[in-house]
Amino acid sequence: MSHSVLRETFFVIFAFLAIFGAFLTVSRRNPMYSAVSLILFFGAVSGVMMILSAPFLALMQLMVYAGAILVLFLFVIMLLALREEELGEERPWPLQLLTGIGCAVLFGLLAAAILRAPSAPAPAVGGDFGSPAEVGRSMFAEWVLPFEIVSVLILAATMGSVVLAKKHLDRPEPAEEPADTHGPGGGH
Amino acid sequence: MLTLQNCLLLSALVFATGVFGVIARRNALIVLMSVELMLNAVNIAFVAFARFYPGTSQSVAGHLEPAKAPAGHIFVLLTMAVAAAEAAVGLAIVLAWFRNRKTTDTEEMRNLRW
Amino acid sequence: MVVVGVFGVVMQIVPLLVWAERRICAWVQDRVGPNRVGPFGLFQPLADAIKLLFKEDVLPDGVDRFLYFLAPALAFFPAAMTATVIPFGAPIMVGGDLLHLQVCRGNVGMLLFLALTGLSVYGIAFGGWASNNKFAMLGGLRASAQVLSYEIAMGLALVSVFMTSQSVDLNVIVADQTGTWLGFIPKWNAVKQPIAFVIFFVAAFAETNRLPFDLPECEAELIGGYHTEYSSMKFSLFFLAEYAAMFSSCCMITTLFLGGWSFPGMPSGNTGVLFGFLTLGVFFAKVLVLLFFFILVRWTLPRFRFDQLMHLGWKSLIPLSLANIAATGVAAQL
Repeated sequence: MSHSVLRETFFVIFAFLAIFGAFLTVSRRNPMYSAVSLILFFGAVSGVMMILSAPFLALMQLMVYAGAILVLFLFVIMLLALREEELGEERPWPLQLLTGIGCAVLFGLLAAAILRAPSAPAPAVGGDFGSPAEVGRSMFAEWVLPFEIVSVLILAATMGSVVLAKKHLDRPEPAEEPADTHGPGGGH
Repeated sequence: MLTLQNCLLLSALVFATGVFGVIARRNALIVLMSVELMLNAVNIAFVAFARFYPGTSQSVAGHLEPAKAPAGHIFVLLTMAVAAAEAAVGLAIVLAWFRNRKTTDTEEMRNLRW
Repeated sequence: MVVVGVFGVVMQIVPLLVWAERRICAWVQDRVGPNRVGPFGLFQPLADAIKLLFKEDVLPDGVDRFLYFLAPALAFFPAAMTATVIPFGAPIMVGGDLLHLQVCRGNVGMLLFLALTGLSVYGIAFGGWASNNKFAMLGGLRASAQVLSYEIAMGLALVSVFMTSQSVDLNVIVADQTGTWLGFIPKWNAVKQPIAFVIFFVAAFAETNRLPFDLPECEAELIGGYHTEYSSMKFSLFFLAEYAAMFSSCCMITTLFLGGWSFPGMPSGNTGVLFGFLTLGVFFAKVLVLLFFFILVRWTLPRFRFDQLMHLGWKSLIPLSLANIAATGVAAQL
C-alpha cells in the first residue's frame, strides 16, 4: 500500500471516529460517558491533524485537550459524584427532535457553501512543516501580540476560577479572620 | 478522501453536533463538553486551511517563501488557550452552582443572585 | 525489530523490578525477602504471575461494567507506549542500513511523552469511578488532581531543558550532552540544569504514583485506592502499568538529564555493532541506578498528606520552575 493510500485510509478512519465520538458525547445521559466519548473524539482529531501535516498541533491537542481539559472535567464529574437519579431530567423529545432538525439544516447550509468552494490539491510541504521549531518561530516572530493577549486572558481566567471556587465569597477564609479573643473558638 | 472539502465537512458536522449538544441538553457539564466540540471543529477547519493554503511568510533574509508554520497553526494554539480558560472558568461556575443548589441543570440557572 | 525489542524489554523488566523491589525492601527493613523460588528468589515474580492468573476474577456488585473493564487497559497503554520515544543506544550500521535503537523517531518525541503522561491518569480515574466503592473513588479523584498538578511542573522543568538544548528532539538533546568540562565533569543536563533536574525527578515520583506521593492507592487510608475492587489479571495489569511507568520515567530522566546513552570520553560517529551494544549497556546501567533510587525512596520516606502534596506542587515546584525558565533565558543572553 502506498504512502498516500495509507494516509487517505487513516483520514477516513479518524474522521469517522471523530464523528462517532462527537455523536456519543452529546447523546450520553451520564456525563461520565460523555467524557469517555470525548477522549475518543480528541484522539481522532489529533490523528486528523497528524495526517494534515501538523504534528506539533496534533500532540498539543492530546496534551491540552485530552491531558488537561478533560482531566479537569473528569475531576469535576467525580467530585459531584451524581447518582443516576440526580442527573436531572432531559428536555422533552419533540424539542430535541426540533433541535436536531435545526442542526441538520445548519450542517446542510454549511455543506452547501463548502461544496461550492473550489477544491485545490494540497501543495507539497517539507518535513519541517508545522514542526515545533517552525511554529515557535512564527509564534514569537509574527504573532507576539496575540500571544501576549492570550496570556492576559489566562491570568484573568485563573483568578476568576480561584474566586469562584472559594467556598464563601462574602466572608474571608477562616485563616485570614482576625483573632476573636472573646468568641468560644478564639482562645489562642 | 483527503480533500479540503472533506476536512471542512467533517468540521461542519462536528460543529453542528456541538450546537445540538448546547441547545438540546440540560446537564451543564455536557453543555460545556459540547462547547469544546465546537471549538475543536474550528480547529479542524484551521488546520485544514493551513494545509491546503499555507500562504507565505517572511523569511529571515527578508523575502517571501511558502510558510512552514501558517497562521492557522498559531490560531489553533490560541484557540486551545481560550478553550482551557473557558473550561476552567465554566467548571468553576458549575461547581459553585452545585454547591449552592445541588443541581447541574441549566434550566435551573435563572437567577444571577439570590 | 526494534519495536519488538522495546516491547520485550518493557515486559521483561517489570517482573525483575518487582523482584528487585521486594529484595531491596527486605534489605532496607533488615529482612531476607523472597529467596525460595529459584536462585535468590529470582523466579518469584513468575510464581506470582501464575498465582494471579489462577485467582478468581471477582466482579463486584454495582460496577459500571464498560469502564471497569476498560480502565486496566487504559492504565497500561500509555505506560507501555512511553518507551517508544526513547533512544536506547547509538544507531548501529547493519548491512548498510542505519538501525536506530528508537521506535518513534522524529522531532516531536518529547511532546509525545508529555501527551502520554497526561493520558495515564484515565485508567486510574475510570477504575476508581467504575468500582462503585468510595475508597476507589477517592483514589481516582486524588490521582486526577495529582497528575494534573505535577504535569505542569514537569512540563515547565522540561522547557528549561529545551532552552539549553535548543530542541525537543530527544536525539539532539542526547547529542547536546556529550563531552566533558575539564576532562571529568560530564556535560549532562543534570549539571547544566540542576533545578530542572530536581523538579522533574520529584514530578516523576508523583506522575508514577510512587511513594512518597502514592496517595491514589495509599493503603493506610484508602485500602488500595483505585484498584481496591480489582482482582486477578485486571489487578495485575494495573500493577504492570505502575512498574512500566516507573521504568519509562527512569529512561526519560536518563535521556534528558544524565546524557542518555552517551558517556564521557565517548568516540563520536561510531556505528559499529559492538559500540551500539556498549551504549545500550551504558544506558541501562544509568536506568538501573535510577530504579534502585526509586525503590530505595519508597522504603525510606513516609507518605505525604494530600494538602502537603498540593502545596509542594503548586506553591513550590511551579514557581521554582518558572523562575528557572527566566534564569535560563537570562543566562542564555549573557
